[in-house]
Amino acid sequence: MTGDQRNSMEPPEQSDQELLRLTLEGDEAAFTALYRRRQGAIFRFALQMGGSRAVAEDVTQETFLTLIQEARRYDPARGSVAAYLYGIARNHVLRRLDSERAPAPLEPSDNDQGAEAAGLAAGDDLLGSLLGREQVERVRAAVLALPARYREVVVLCDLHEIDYAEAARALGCPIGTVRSRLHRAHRMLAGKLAGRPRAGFCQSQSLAALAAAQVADSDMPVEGRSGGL
Amino acid sequence: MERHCPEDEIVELARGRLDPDARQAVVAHARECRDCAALLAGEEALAAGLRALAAGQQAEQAPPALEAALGMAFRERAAKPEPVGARAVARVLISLVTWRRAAAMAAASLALVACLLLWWRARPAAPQGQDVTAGPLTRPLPQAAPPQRSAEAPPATGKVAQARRPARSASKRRITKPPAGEAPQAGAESEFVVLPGTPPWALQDGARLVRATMPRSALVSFGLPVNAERAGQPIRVDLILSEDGVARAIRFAGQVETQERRRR
Repeated sequence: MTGDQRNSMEPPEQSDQELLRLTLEGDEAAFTALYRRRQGAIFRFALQMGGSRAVAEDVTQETFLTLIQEARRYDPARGSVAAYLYGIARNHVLRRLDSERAPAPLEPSDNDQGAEAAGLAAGDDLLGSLLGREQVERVRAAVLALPARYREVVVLCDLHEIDYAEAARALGCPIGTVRSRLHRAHRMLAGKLAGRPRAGFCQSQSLAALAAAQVADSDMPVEGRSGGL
Repeated sequence: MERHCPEDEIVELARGRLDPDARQAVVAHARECRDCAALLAGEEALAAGLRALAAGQQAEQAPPALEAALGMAFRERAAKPEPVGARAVARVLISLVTWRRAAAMAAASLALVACLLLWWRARPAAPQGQDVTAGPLTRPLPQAAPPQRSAEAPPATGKVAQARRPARSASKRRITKPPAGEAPQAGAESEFVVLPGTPPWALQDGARLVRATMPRSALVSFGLPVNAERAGQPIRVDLILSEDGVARAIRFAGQVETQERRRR
C-alpha cells in the first residue's frame, strides 16, 4: 500500500499502535486518525487537571507535538498508546501548573483529620440542599481542589474510567499506589463535598441526595462554569 | 461485627470494580454493619457525582484549529531529516561525564585557554616599520633591501619557504647557519623563515613586506633563539604580513648600526 493510498482512506479499525507505527513512517493520515481518536480524552484530562480551557488547549497541543517528535520512545511493553499519551499530558499539565504557580491545593491538615473523626451528620442538610448544576460544579471544584497526585488518579480512574494498571503506567507508579491514592482521594472528596473532611463512614443521606441531583443534571452544558477554585 | 470493615472494597464496590464474589461478601457485611452501610451509600453517591461530572464534560474537545496546526507541525517534522542520533550521542556523553572527568575536562580547558592567551600575547603585532613594498610581494624589492632569492620568487604554491622543505623543519629553520641559539649577526643574510604557529596561508591571498627594527629579544615571540647577552641589541628584519596583518615569515636584514657601534 502506498502512502497516497493510505492518505486517501481513513483507517478506523486500526489499533492505536498500528496508527502510531504508520505515524512514525510519516503517514499523516494515521497521525490525524490517532489524534482524532485521542484528542478528546487528552483535552478533558488536561481540563480536569488544570481547570482551564486555555491550559487544556496548550497541553493537548504540547502532548501531540511531543508525540510527533518523540514517538519512537513509545514502548508497547510498557503500556498502551493511550497510557503513553496520558503520561505525556500529565507531565505537561504538572509543568504548566508549576510554572503558573497556581495556588496548590493543600494536603489535609491535622485539623482536617480531626474533623474527619468528628461529627458526621452536621452538614447533611447543607449537602442535601445543593441541587443540579451547582452540585456538579461542586464536584468539579472539589476534584480541582485535590492535591495533584490525588487529583490525577481521580481524573484517570473515575472520570476517564481507565483501570488501575493503565493509570499506573500513565503515572509511572505502582498499581498499589494508584489504588491507595484513589481511596484517599475519595475520602478527601467526600469531606470537601460535605464542607469538611469526611471520615470513612456515614453521610449516606446527604451524599445520596447529592447523587440524585447530579444524575438528574448530568446533561448540563459545560460552558459558563467558573474556572476553578 | 463478624469481620473487619472492608473500606477499600466498599470503594471498589461503589465504583463497580468488585468481582461478584467479593461484592456479595461486602454487601452482606454492609447489611449488618451500619457504618459500612453508610460508607457504601456515600461512596455510591460520590461515584454517581463523578460520573455526572464526567458525563457533563464528555463533549469537551480540542478546538478544530489545533488539528490543522498539528498537521502542519507533522509535515514540517516529516520534511526534516531525522537528526543523526544527536540526542543519543548527548546522552552517552552525559553518562560518560562523571564529576572526575568533568573536573579533568575543566582543568584541560583552563590550560588550553591559558595557552591561547600566552600565544596571543606573544603574537607579533604589526611592527612599526617601513613598508618597503608598495604592493604585492611579487614586485621587486627596493634597492635598499639586500639581494634576495626567496622574496623575488616565492614558491609557486604560495606557501612561503614550505614548498621546498618539510613543514616541520621549515617553521624554524634559517637558511644561513648562525651559531646555535643565536640570531644572525649584522650583515648576515637569510631566507624567509615561516613563523611557527601560523595557519596555512598562500601568497595569492595577499601579502606585503615590511621592514622593521626590533630588539633581538623580540625574536623570542617568533619562536627563534636569542643570545641573552645581546638581547637588548636592535636588529633589522623583513616581515611578510598577510592581509590580516599577521606576520607569516621573517628574514633578518642586518644589524642596526647604533651610536655605540659607530663610535667603535
